[in-house]
Amino acid sequence: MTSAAGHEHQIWTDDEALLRDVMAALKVPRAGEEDLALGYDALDWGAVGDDAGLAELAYDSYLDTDMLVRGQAPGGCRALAFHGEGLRVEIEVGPARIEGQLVPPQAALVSLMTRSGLVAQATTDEVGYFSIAGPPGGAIRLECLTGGHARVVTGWVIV
Amino acid sequence: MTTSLTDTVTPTGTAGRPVAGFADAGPGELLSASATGDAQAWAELVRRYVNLVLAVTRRHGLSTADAQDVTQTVWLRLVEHLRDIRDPQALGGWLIATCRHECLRQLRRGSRTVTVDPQNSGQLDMVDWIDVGDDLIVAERHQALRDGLGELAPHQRQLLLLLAADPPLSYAEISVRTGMPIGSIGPTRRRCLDKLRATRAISNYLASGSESGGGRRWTA
Repeated sequence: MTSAAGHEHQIWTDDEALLRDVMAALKVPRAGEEDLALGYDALDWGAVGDDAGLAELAYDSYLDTDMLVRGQAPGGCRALAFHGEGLRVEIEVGPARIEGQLVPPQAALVSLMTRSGLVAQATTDEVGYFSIAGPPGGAIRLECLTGGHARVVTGWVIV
Repeated sequence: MTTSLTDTVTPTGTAGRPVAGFADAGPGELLSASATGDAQAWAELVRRYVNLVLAVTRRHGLSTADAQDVTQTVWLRLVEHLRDIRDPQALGGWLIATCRHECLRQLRRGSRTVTVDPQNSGQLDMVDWIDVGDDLIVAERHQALRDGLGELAPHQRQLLLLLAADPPLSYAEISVRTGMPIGSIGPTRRRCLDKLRATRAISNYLASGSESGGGRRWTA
């Protein structure tokens, strides 16, 4: 099997083919400054910080094939789970509230963040349940400050 | 049509130039420097892969607003994982897979009703996977060619842009526009294409493709 690069090298030894490829490369719609700016900004937005752990997006009912075949859960809530070291954050995103559960259950202050900053906060009850008004739409992330003073932030997700 | 030629084919401009100091950096170096918060390294990473990400979102037919949400989420996801991309040479593949997931999320968020035939979903997945593999190869190759053009001297670049114009220009028209005698267009064209092949962008591209574990390898 010829490697892709070897194949391209052969193509590019021919002047006509190289010029055709140049023509194709110039026809592709390319990223503008706006597209680049979206990327540049992400370095600040996405940073977790040295003092915090990341709970990354591990489950999304929107990507669950079984769920799609069966149909959405009653009420149309979207279920998301974020897995971090020693902590799972499981939430259901409803039209007016985000309800969630920390696993293992523990006391924590949970903050709902958007790109503009803090939107709302809630404390968990004795079984680790919390309920926050929102979501505001667009990209969100939750920050959990646990009783042990560990800070865990979830990955960003568009809700 | 001729007045718009330079607008549509000029590969330079701020979006088209590698970030100073990182033009030769491989994906591994860009990832590790970005993980320390180096905004310049991150800017070069975004510049190099932004067209690939856009190619995947275009394939999913998202609206402009949804496509912007998706691309920003893909970059945020990459920032979250800067330290744990195991194979930097496969960064393109990682971005495609991540972007594809984010596109599906966005489509389902928008419609809430998606028809899925469980008998066929596996096959569809496979077709899509091959398609995005093509996206990766083509987007990287085109990026290398545009970067290569950007490295050429202005008169060399101008000639190649005129020769690559669509619809094609005759040698007589090119002669008028460049002031070059018709008879020397052919030989100059050959020299300019050789210069293009010798550019840093093209050499780096071909060298990275021949390494084991290169981003293009998984579709070969």
